[in-house]
Amino acid sequence: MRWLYCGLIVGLVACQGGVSSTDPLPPDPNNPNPTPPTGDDRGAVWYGMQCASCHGALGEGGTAPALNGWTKPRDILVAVIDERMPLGNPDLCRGDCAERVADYILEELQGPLPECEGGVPSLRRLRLLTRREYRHTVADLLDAPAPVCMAIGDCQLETQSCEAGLCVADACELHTFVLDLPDRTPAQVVVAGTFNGWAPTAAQGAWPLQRLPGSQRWFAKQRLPNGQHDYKFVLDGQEWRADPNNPNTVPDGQGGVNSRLTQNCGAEVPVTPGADPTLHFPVESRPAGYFFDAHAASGVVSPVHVDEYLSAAQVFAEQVATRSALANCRDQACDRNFIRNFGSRAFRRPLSEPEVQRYLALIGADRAAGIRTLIEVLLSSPNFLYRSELGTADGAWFRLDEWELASVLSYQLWGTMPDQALFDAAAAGQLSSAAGRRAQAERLLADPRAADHLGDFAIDWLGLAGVIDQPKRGELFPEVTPGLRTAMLQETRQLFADVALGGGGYAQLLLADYGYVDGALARLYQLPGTYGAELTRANKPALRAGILGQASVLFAYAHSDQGSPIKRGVFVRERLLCQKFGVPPPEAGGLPEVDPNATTRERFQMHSGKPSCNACHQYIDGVGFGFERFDAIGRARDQENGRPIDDRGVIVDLEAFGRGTTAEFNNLAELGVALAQSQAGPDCMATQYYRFVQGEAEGETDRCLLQPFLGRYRAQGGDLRALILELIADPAYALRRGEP
Amino acid sequence: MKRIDRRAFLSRSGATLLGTALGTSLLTRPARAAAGQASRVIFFYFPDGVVGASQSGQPSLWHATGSENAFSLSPQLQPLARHQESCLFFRGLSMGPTDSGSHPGGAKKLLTAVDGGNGESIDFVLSRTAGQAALHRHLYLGVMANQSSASGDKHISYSASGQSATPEDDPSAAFQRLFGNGVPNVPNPPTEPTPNRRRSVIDGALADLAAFRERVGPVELRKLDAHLDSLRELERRIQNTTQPPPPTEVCRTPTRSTVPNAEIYRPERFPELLRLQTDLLVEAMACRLTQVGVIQNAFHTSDLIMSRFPNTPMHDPGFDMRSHQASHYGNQHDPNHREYADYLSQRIWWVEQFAYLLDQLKARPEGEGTMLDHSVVVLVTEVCDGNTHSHDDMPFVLAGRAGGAIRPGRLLSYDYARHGGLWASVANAMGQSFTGFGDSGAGPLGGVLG
Repeated sequence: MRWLYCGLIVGLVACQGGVSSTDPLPPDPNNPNPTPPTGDDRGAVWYGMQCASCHGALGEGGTAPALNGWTKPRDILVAVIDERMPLGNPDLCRGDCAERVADYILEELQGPLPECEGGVPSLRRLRLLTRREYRHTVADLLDAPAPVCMAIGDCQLETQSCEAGLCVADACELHTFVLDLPDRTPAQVVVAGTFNGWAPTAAQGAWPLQRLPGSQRWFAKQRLPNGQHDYKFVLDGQEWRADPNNPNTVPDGQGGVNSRLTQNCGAEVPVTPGADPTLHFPVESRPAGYFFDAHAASGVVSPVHVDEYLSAAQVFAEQVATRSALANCRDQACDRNFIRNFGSRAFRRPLSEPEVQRYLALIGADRAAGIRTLIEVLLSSPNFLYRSELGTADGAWFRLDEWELASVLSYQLWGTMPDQALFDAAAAGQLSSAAGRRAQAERLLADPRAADHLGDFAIDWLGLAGVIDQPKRGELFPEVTPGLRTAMLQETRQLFADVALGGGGYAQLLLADYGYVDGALARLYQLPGTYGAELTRANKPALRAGILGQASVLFAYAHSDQGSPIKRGVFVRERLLCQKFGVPPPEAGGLPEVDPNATTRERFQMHSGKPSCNACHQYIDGVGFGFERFDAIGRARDQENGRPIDDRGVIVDLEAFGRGTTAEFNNLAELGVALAQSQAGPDCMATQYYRFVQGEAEGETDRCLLQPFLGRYRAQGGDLRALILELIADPAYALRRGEP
Repeated sequence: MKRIDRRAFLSRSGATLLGTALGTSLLTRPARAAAGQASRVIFFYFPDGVVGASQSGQPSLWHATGSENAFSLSPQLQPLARHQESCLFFRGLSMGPTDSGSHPGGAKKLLTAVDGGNGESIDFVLSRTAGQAALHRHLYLGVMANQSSASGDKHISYSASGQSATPEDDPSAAFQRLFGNGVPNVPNPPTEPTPNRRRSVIDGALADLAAFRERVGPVELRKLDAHLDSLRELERRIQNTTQPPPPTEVCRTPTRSTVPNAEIYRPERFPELLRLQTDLLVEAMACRLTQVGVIQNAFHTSDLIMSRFPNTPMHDPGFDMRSHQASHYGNQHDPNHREYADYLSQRIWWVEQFAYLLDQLKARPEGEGTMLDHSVVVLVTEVCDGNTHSHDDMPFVLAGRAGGAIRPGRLLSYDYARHGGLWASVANAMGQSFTGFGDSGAGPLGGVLG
């Protein structure tokens, strides 16, 4: 643990101004080194850069106390800034800087904060599909449920077969011969041609047709290689007939005609079932401190993206070309219909007539190639790749239309494209009204996909994705298997779904006395009784209440060979309380020699000894010690290095840094109680959820968009489902603002 | 939050300017037009710094010592002994005072030379300028650089102000993108659909983009223009595969990676993955597929367990020693201290990997010399001493002759010169006449060129 001090905190974000993704211009390489702010407004400039991200742009507070309402003399404010601020890096604002910033605070940031009447909506934008969204979207787009069948007669005979109760489109190579004989019933009907040596009977190699039960229709499905094939039907081994349904004929050299068909199927690209089309898509870019993958402003298409989109589209084009109705369309009306339906679903809005024409024109003489091109074009189009939140001008704002709202709803609640019912609601104009949106939202929330998507949120919010591949020492932890890792994550997903949708509220997240376990996880938790391969609900010991005692958290925030009070302390502050730490001071390094026989607690004593370390570590260590009961994979233990476990701790400034509060606790469960009763805890969960949905990092969302809802939300015990429905019903949900 | 200025200024700001002025006056060679220029640039990054000057005041164990033309290498630089005449070594380069003492702060400034990463990094700028005609303008390869959802300041390459790009960690994916069609001038049958079909797809996307462009404001327009640029790059690539470029002396399809995607984050595979990515990058450049490449090894403060790398000096199956963990070796250089000893052998290993890259470039003939003679290759990390996190006296090394624009085999010493000047010099070596870059102040770093 020698390396641990203020500088080490994983995921640090500089309090004095983070990266700004709205800065429009790259640096001018010809610009000489800029000078410090010199204008009369330099106090404001410095405040914006160094103070606002913790104290709020309006001094309203946040991670750090509000400055609005400063009652002490000016000299004290100047001294505090000069000697101690920004937190952890006091050298940054000395002398003139401290004076000017103090003046700015006293002159501009006092007085009541403007009431939140409503916030300023998010910017209108295009949101690039993330890998996860892309995966779900294509799965839904291409796997529309097939009609159910008992026998082939229940499907479209010429183009489909009945497999395992579903009508499945035939592969291109499979050609269906059909012959209707309404006036007689021969004993045998075969098809003979160049492909089987013109044999007149099945015994000699011709292909027999079978009669469709309850009809006078005969059919056979056969694989044909590419090329030209001539054929005739043969009835009872003697009567040769050309195919009456095939207009293509050639003279047969005996005064009659043979039927001719041309097979032209492209090479079928094998699609491995379950293969992930996004496997090599670029990892999403996002700013530090934003925990999710859908940061709106960062969704930019690079050349690597384009390459991958085209490759993926090629695979899907094969699927559609060989297995969908389009493959067997015989006229332009059928093509049109397909394009209109498929295209509208792909673009998540109705296609315009010019668009339909444009795509129809892609299917030219070479039909097989044309179909593939069409699908590739549709799946590479920005209309597919981006979710539009542009809206149309309406007074001061831009109003999202029904189709955009359908996508906003489905991607928010399910992480995928709208289903047919949601498209229908949009077509009926129901989503512009709060009641209409609310009704759809309730329907979507009741679907299992909502719980699944909230599970994704929870894993990303809590930073647990690494559980899947984080190394752990095999000889210390032989019970760690891929199955155990997956079970841990699944448990967290299920608990969170309970919390978010089951009305349990924030307290349940911290205090739940149960979990979800399979055999391996139950053994890890040392639960009595036997458990199977499926996760089932089980009660857990009191010390393991809620999220803090879950194996996933304990596992993720630990090292490969030992636990980590620092990682766990930072987890609580950054992830559960949304509190950030600033940049450590220069030369924060330099660790004194440490006694390896000391306890964890003793080893960290040096943090409190040095003020430059203690500035941040006073908030971290005391919290992290509460986790000492649990080792690097989340097993409980009673002693460490022969000494009994001491998992008492203290949480300083629970609600916000600088408040001057301390609260002691005796174990992890008591820490959970403190968090459950806090204001910062539920607010943090709501804030993170909002950032997840909006794709906006801290500072990018108007504070008054979420603020008005938080009071009610907290009063209802941090009921996330209720908050979700209220936000969806709010008028601002359907609005965006234009750029200045 | 409106950004008017990007600097946090201290009372030290006066010294910054003074330092820069001193830095350029110590070496009075002006940046005259170079005889030739570099065809390519590579940035090779490793995380968590080096053994520099200790907290207790012991001298740096990284920096070469001596005079400009008569100097000796430190223990950590020993792997470069065989390339000494091809390298420029530096003393006294600084990344400036902002966020000094911070890993993320250093990573943000590293290739952008702008505080907070609020600028386009030098590799992206060069990909748009000197390297814009290449089939792949920018190649950003990583080894375990995306692990644990790394993002933001963990990545060193910035495609736009405040926006870092993400590297490709899977050599198979990178191979497929670069060589999947067969190398342009080596007869491999293409397995892709016809160029015409791809062109139709691109034309379709371009038309749809045009429709969107009419509806959006300037911020979203930038996104769409980036999308447009990306489509055009692919378009160019397709046109080129139908007319192969002139053959080069050495261009072969590299070995395919056999590391399954599920294993690209196992520390045991790291050396193998780095070897694959390095070979891939060199081959891509030998085949003229790209002129700008970045290799990023892991990222700062990661949990990269270097003691699990097989067949390396720091290998220890019995104990997990991470890069960042070792970097905090204490306030003095103590060989009896485990973290210190491991950290030192880790750093030497990183330099050996950089030396391997130079080996590969030197092994391929080009023009009257080798590929290395026509390249600029830069070794970087985001802090100097790993324990103190200093941003001063950065441990950069520059290799290559840049077609004659650079005269390597020297030790260049500065007195607190800002590192943006080095990137400006690199750009000049690539034929771009930058008078500065990012924080460089007075201009390109004197003494690098010529």
